[in-house]
Amino acid sequence: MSSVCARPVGMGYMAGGARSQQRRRAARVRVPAAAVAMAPTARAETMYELLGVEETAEPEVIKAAYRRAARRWHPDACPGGAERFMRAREAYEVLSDPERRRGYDIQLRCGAGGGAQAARRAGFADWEAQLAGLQWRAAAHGRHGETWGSRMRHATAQAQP
Amino acid sequence: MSEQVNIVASDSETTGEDKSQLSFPDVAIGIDIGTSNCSVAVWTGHQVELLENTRNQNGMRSYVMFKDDTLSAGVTRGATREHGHEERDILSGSAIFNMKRLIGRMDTDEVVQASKGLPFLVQTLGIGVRPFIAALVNNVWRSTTPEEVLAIFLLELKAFVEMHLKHPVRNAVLTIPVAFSRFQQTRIERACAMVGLHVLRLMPEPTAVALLYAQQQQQLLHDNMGSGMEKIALIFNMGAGYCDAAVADTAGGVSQIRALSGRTVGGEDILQNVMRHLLPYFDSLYVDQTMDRIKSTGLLRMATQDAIHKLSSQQHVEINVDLGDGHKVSKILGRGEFETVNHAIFEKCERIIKQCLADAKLGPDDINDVILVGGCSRIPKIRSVVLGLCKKKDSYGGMDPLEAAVLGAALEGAIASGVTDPSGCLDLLTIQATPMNLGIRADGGNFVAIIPRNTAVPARRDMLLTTMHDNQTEVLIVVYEGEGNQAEENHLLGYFKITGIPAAGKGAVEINVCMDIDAANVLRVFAGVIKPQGQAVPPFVEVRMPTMDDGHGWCGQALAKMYGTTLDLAVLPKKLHP
Repeated sequence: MSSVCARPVGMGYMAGGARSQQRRRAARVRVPAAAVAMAPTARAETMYELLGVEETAEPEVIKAAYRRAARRWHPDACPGGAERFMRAREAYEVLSDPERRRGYDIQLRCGAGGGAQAARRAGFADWEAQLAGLQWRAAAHGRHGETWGSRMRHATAQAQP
Repeated sequence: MSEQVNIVASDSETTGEDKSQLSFPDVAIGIDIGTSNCSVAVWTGHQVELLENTRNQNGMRSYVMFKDDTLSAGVTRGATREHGHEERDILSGSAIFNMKRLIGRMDTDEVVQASKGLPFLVQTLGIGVRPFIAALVNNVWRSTTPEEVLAIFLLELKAFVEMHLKHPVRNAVLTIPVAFSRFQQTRIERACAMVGLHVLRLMPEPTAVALLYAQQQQQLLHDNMGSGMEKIALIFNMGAGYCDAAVADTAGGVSQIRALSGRTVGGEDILQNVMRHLLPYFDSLYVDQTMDRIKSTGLLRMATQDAIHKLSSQQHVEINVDLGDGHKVSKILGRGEFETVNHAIFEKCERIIKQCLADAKLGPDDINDVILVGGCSRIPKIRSVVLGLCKKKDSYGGMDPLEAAVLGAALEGAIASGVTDPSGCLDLLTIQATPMNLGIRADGGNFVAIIPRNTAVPARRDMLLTTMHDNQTEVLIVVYEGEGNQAEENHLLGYFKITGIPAAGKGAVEINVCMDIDAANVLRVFAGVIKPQGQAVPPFVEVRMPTMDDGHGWCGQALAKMYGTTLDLAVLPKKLHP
């Protein structure tokens, strides 16, 4: 399997040795069920770092970076890269949507680069992050084309204490 | 999944070794089993090659003929020309075909009901079990199952490929319709397992075409003809049994599926519509599946099929067929009349494309190429509907409509087998998407999607739920896939209980349900209690879906009868974390 993993993927990579070590580690990881629930919060890397782009990157640059990551980590190209691919995919989904990207940028600024953990911080910044979260959720709702019924269900579910 | 390959490999390693086998061990072959036709292709080292049978056909009829003690499938068509099967033999009741329409369906399914007009026996009891199908052998109905028929077909196909390649074949990539439920997919996998084929991937047909398109775009770039810019293609595939559409964006050899949609509608429905139009009182003509009925259905079917083919190139067609017993059909069928008769089918096609474009959040102007594949893409009305919706004058011309899917599957076979090509021909990737919502029953009888449709695969999503009643110590997780808002409207995939939940008021415990789809498209559901935490809480449960076996039509009702709402779940409003 490792020979498959090491197959060249053409094009230039984002970085050298350090990352390929990471790749080998990713191949062995088998996430236990309990950790699954926590997965999004246990990340230190920002989504920009994950894709290897500047925070000011244009949408095309982000898209190209995502493609590069996909060619590198998609399990078809690298068995065991699924974890890494899913994170790159999540980062791409957030950063390619202007609404969600703005929300994420706000969080990055008030949280100490902790990405998803920003929302848990106390004080004024927390309020701002919550607002960002709300914006993000509103955008996310639109994206998945929810039905009137499911919106109503959400509303009733939220109304009940 | 790859471990299984090695186990299989050890017991069939005796055949002579070939040089090509050494350099490309275990390259998966690509198989496209259509409702009416089947083809197979393989990566030969520098390109994909479509295999031809002894009759020089690369599109083989999908059927299995039952005769005395011998079974023969459409791959060789009875091997020699003297004993060869003609269309009339296939329609004599002795052959089973259309297995792709029947496989993994319950006898309450309308597609199974509509198959009762076929020459072989399809018997339904209408109670949600597998239909009874049988072929006529020496005037006796001999029973079989759709999986068995598919396995017999695959066995002949496998032998044929091995003869051609001169080495054993163990792995395969098969194309499937978008509309296939996960339960149907397991039936295909089971049929493959019966003949010793390990399924590396089941690829929705339009995504296989998208991969071939990505390769062609890369080729253009190599030849300095392409711009290397991102290109968005709409792929429309309509065969005899199913119709599907996909929107894929392609750049740098990466083809990403943005949206998929499909339904069980195809050439078979068009054929049945026209047959009914030509002879409206046909059903009342014969009370049961008698020899007379089989014979006249066969004659009418052949004449109608022929007429539909001709209508693709001419405006009118004359149909003259004597069905015996003084029943005759003589009619001139015009293209306009044909289109009116099949109006509902064309409308369904339109809806499939509209939904696909809407899901991809694209308008007609965003589409660079429209790719039309499948047998029915020859029908002028279908072409005009698809091209009209995409506001295009013409379709993409670089592919053979009948070969594109199988070539794509063979490419994926090589890629998923880990083959590399020095010329960069295989530096390709398809990022698949889920064709249907995956979720569970919660909030009463509602369907709550955890992985929404068109999510990139591999994927993992989770959701927090809670109990519906005070001191509820057990919850039932019932997993469905589909588009309906009510759980019951969707395909049931499986169910399991979480037990030993600490007693608490309703809504106080938090239950996490996580769905995971890996690259081989295997769905696993993890679930367990995450609040309160501690030693008293039972471990998480991991279940591979679908867990259902045949007769699954019963289960939903049986569960409702047994447990009512006592083990129900409710969705917890999401906590704030992006």
